[in-house]
Amino acid sequence: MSEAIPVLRIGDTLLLSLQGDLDDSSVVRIESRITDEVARTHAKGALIDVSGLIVVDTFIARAIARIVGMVRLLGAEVVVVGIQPAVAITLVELGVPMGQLDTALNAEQGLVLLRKLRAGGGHGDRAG
Amino acid sequence: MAILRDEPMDAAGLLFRDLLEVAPDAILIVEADGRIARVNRQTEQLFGYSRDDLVGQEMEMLVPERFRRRHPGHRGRFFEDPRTRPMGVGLELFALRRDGTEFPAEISLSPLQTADGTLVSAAIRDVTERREYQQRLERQRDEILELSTPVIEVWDKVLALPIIGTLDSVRAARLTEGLLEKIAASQAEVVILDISGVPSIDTLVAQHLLKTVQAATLMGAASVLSGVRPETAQAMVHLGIELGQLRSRNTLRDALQLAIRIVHERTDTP
Repeated sequence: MSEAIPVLRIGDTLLLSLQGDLDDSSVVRIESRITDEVARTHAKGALIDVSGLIVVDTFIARAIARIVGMVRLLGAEVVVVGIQPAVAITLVELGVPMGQLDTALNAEQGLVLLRKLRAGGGHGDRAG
Repeated sequence: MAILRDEPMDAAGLLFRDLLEVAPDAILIVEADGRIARVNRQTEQLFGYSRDDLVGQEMEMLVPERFRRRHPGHRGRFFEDPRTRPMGVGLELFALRRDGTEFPAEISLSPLQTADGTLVSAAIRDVTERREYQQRLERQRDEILELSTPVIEVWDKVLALPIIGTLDSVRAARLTEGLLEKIAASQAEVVILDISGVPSIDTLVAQHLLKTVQAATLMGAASVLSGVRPETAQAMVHLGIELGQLRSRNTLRDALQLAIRIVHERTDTP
């Protein structure tokens, strides 16, 4: 995560892939990159793929929650995809409040959920 | 010195020799330079050497090749601070027989003060059986845990987890782990947690269940609780157990119907 922060664009949806080790400075760069991209492309939705993160601690969990909050403020829905079993267990054990997070198993299902969220007018009301 | 050489012994010396011979463990008396001074009968049997093959030799001949280089260093440190202690605490030790085979060993060391200086007595026990027994126990415990937490793919993208028996923290952790791995592998959308086989739900069990549900939700799978009996429902409400968004059904059949509906809702585009 040292230099390039890849943000793919699929229609009006952005795909941000988080990988490797995240530190303070890389999180700040990601925040600025994704918010700039959402504003520039007028994206209506964003998928954050975290399957490349092997370790997620409270620092990274909070960083993800912040990124989600920022993107929502810009008017786009966000779905986090690819949370790995060990990461899910860690988040629950750490008691990180992720209740507001919309999650999906993979990017494909994430896109379906994004469409539903946009049709339903907001998060927190997902089927299931 | 009588211990080392077969010289005429006094009563104490004879007693010592007899004790050494009848000891249940193989006992080696080793000099500070690492040479074997004396062995007992058990040593001959355990290692397959005769007494004459051993006495006067470097004791490292009984150490497997891969540990041999570092052993004199360990031996030196024992003689710097000689006191009775087990050797290699926390390590699995091995000893080398004459025929080249190895056996897992437990070794206790004791200093022996003599007129000629400090010697060390090493009591060596073959723990093959005990170690195999331990491994078998661990394997069986793992198998029981595996058996007690089966995850079944009951429908396309629907997993069922029948929980039977009491749910303690170890089982709950194993169950969560197994379930999440299966979600990742099968890309399931809905998980049915069936608790009809759980004798009683207390706050602790409910907490374990909710943690499992939260973790599954984070991965993107919805959960449905099933097998809630009337008395369980009463107990849960009386205990103030809050299930949050978790949906619950009385029977597995109803839960499966709900699960299939959720799968359709979630996969159909609006």
